[in-house]
Amino acid sequence: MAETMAHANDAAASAAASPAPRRLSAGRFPAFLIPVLVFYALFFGYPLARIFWQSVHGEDGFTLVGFEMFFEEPAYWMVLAYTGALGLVTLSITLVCGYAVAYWLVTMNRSWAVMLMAFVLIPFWSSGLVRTYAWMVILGRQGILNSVLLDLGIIDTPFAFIGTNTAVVLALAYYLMPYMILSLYSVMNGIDRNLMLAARSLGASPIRAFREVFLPLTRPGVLAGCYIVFMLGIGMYITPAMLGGPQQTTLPLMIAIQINEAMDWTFAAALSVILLMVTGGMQLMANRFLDFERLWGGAK
Amino acid sequence: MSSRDFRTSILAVGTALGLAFSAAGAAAEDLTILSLGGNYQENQSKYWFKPYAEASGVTVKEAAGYNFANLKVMIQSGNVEADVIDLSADSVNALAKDKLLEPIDWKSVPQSCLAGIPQDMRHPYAFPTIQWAMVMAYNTKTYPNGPKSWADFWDVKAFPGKRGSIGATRPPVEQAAMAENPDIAKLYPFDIDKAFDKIAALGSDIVFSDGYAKVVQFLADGEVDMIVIPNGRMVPMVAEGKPVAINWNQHLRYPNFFVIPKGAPHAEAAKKFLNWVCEPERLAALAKPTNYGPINVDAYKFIDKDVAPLLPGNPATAAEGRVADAEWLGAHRQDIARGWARLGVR
Repeated sequence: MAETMAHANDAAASAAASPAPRRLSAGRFPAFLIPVLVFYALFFGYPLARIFWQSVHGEDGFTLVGFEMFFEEPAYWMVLAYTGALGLVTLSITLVCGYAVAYWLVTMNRSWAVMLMAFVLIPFWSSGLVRTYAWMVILGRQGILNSVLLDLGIIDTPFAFIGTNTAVVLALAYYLMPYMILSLYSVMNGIDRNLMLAARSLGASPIRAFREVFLPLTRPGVLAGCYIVFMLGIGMYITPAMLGGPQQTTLPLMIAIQINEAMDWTFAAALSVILLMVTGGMQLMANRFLDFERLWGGAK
Repeated sequence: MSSRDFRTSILAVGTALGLAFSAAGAAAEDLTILSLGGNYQENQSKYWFKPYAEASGVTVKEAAGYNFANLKVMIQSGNVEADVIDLSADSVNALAKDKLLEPIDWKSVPQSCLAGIPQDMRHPYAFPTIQWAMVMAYNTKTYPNGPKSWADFWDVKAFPGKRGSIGATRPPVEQAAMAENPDIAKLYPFDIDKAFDKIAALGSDIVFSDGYAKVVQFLADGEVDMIVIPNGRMVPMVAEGKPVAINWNQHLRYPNFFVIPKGAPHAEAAKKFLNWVCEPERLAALAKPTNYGPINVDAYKFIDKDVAPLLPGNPATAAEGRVADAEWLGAHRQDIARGWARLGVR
């Protein structure tokens, strides 16, 4: 508990207070890592290197034409910007809703929490395709939502949800919500709630106790959740493909079109590299401005 | 793991692989055909693949569903798992350009097959089988005097209602071009940017989907009243007696081919199959259940009078449309992809 408090108040103090992590002896290479390293080198490192190689190789050897095509066409910049914006909006929604749900789960009776947690996890058992299709059934012109709105007399003609940002964001947020809830829940569950009581007994209002004690302690969960949701969000293919229209074209959709229709793999690889650069760049920024040591170290 | 254990396991893996390869080598009288699945392949199987297996004694294995990307990788890697592949014209051209297909020896094709195949369909690397057509289908209740041209499709005043089409992968650029310039003989080349301007002009009157099945569903559900659709997709709705009709004017035909990929494990067996299936009477069998038209014109001798008018390329409607220029389209796919991206940010 002393350690957790230190985390909340002062990162430097925390580093000093917590015992130094046991390091593997520097001279010996841990042999048990070899299978994992080989696996990653073969099935992650090699394909990734191939994508980089493909992005600068056309029919006549070395070329930068794929990157030129991207930088010469403002429409492609907009597609990238839209992809990022979609990730951010989805992230905001899942964060606000997920935080509330996770908080509610940790505060409630344990047996109820376990049961409700199952509801959070059940969607993981079915495929993303099916879950996206469910949204088509709900949001369709003759879907459940439209018939309810029509019956209540709120609208006169069915509203075309499909092909709008609303539909894509809603389905994406729904799809990614469990990741956010799980990240937050695991961290919130480890927070000693006596800390809140201590703050209250020292005269803090409930809101202040929450804001100054609980909220900072959940920071690692918030960051991890945001990170996962954003990364998955900008890479999602099915949801914008099925629920979006031309205005909802994301970079992954553009890559798929390049691979299957335009059959230009150099450009497809260049687009993939650009997407990777953007996410990689964001990771660097996050590492720089957000304290990742604390992020991973805090989620104990 | 000690180095001896390691060596033993390598040996074990090697032996297993060796066994797997020799097993594949032993079954020489096999033929694997990769097609497009669905109703189409069911009928191919019923009328072509199974009868051939019975007649020849060859074990015909079927596989369904592929996309261009994994197909190309499969052939390039040399780990080819199919002997015959059902391909569209633009995929044929793209793979032929990369030298990933076996040439067709047109001299060895039986004369009874050859006679009815138009000269321009005798592709050096692909054997033409059927053709489908991109047509307009509409709700006959909404439009008793149906739309007659793509210009009508774009005329939202004379024909109010929503339109539907497949989006990202195949936006209706040719149809837009024909709405501007109805002379189908001079369709290609056309200005792709202008075609996208025309599509953009429809605004919210057109709904896009990522698959043909959904476009048909839109029409069936009344979400839209007019669609751009491959003719075969309309077979179930027409059969159920739904109030829909097809307008054949200004249709575009897309031939499909059988190809033998480079490195096919049973290329000789594949050639034998092609020389069997190419007979007009066999090609004709697919017409009724799929509504795809044979490319071999002699096949029409074996097709019922009431089925023939439903087929792309049949003598009655062939002149109302034309064969799509797969080569031109293939060369401009990149412009179409860019146009689609621009359409999104307008």
